[in-house]
Amino acid sequence: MPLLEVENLSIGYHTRKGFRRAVEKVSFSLDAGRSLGFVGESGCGKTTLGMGLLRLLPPNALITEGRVTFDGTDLLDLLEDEMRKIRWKKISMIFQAAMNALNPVHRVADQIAEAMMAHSPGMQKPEAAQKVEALFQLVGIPKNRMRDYPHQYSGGMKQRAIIAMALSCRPKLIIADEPTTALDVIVQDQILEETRNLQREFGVAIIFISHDIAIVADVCHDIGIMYAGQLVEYGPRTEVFDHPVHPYTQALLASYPALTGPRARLQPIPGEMPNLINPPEGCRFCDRCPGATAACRREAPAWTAVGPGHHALCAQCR
Amino acid sequence: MSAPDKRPILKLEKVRKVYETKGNLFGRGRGQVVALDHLDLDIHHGEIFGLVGESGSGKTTAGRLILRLEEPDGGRILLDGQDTCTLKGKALKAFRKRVQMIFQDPYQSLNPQISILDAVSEPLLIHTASKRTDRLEAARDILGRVGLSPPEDFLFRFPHQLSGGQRQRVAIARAMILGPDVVVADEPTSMLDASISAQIFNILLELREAMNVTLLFITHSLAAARYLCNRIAVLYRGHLVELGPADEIIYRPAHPYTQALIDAIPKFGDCSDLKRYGTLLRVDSEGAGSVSGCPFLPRCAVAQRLYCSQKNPEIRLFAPDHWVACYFPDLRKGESAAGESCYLSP
Repeated sequence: MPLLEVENLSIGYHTRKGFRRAVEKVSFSLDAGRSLGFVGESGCGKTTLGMGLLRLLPPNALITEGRVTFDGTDLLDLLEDEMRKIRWKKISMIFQAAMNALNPVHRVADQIAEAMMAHSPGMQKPEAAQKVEALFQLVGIPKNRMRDYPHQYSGGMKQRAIIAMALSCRPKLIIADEPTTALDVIVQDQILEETRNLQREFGVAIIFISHDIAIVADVCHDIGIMYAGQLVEYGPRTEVFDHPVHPYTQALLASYPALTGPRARLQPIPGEMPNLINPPEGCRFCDRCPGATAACRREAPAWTAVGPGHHALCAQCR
Repeated sequence: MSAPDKRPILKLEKVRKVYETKGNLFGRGRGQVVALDHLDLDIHHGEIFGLVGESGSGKTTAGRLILRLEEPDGGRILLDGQDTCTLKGKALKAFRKRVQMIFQDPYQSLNPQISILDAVSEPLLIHTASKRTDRLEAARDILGRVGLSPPEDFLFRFPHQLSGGQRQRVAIARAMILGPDVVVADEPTSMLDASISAQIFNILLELREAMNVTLLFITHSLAAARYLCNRIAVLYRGHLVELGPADEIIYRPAHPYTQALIDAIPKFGDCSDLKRYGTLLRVDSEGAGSVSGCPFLPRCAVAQRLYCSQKNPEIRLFAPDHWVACYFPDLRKGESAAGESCYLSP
């Protein structure tokens, strides 16, 4: 049985202009110890999806349908109190602006200890401190920095502290939302290395959300490409990147500057993402798609299997 | 370093910039941050020159100094042989007309209360006493060139009605409308999505062809620099560590820092011709904070401690057009990454 199974999850926001369907009918599953990466551009719903799994959405958001089965329980059926016990203890999250996720007036180590004590009643301070020390060693923060405040840390160290915090209760699943966006490449490389090590050592499952294809390709076993609130292509990393079938995936890959190989002219994607308050009836990519037909505009595409474990939401890519 | 056919339009000579930090209430903890240390650069007519480095390397400071948004604390900056730091009055205004800037964040660089027409034509109002109809015509023309067509749809809109990519195009139009000789683009796509970035890159390439402008492209991404630039300079903590043609820097990096940068980039797509170098220490070595030695010494895995801690290495010719500031350039030849999957298995 997979650790996490998401079926037909749809999330929307009530806005002044109407109901905005940010995530629509997203389904995927994730086994323990595997990693899954969601790639997409801003506004494609990838952050909403991550927040929705933990039920951390703002008040104007509504989960309209779907099921999120984690370890046998449906997270969407749980009461808020029960959900709270799962958060951090079983599923933890590394937020987008991790730089700002630490409280500036408390020592970094104390904040992590606090998170641990809150979730394991009976744990005393010395025990928590010991565990924090072990965690810091794991993520590579020197021991003598434990009594420092967040402002004394560099960006990369704060990020490591946040990773330590996410690991503190030994969760089974970590949702990482753009964990390296504000960091330099060398620090980013170290954080990604750390992520891979953790996965190997503890067998945590990771959902990795990013706009950067290269990062996701570096860390994840499986890839989901998102466009305009929908998952449009899903499969093992090598399948998706070596044989992309959805026109959006192909376009995304063609717009990404490569470090090596021939200097081909980048192909930007013409047009813009559709408005999600009144999304088009047919395929959401058809206005920007070079191979769109009249049928594409009329009816919504269905999922098609195109390879081993590799699926695409496109009527043309059989 | 300049071959006869490559005339420098912009020349930086031993440019130095130091920022003072304030310290606390009692004046303790006051110190100096050296943002740029004796930077020498030649930027040729009509080229796209890439300035690459991590945050804090001084790349943005270099851009701001070139625009004279700030004054250097030492050295000279020459535009066509004329020292820009001494310009005043009319000469300074004429200089501003020739050198323009595209900022990083299009959400902050445009005034929300000014329409696109006014924002784009404002430089004309300041620098050329043109008529209103001429300004409108010029604005229309430049908006068409940056891909905002038909221009009529955009002239009377306001920044909040545009997407990030469209705003950045307005910022480019505003920088280009005077027909400048040099444009400094400071991470123009770091706030944008990949597909939009590609549009911006292509517009910059087209405008360079059409308007024969020299571009200084400041970025942290070596891949973007390779796509756009003729030459790339790598900065580390205010020092120029390597300079050369774009492909030379990617395929034959000679400075350990550049090699570490290339190691660190997430490999994607075909990278069978890249090498791994392993020139970065996992933990910075201690006691190497001496002022005189090589700035990269504390993190360098190939350093010969006695030698490298003596004096900061000067930049020297390593291969044709390829300059390196290292005593032991290319000591690590690198192991070929060939055969290794680009998607490193986790």
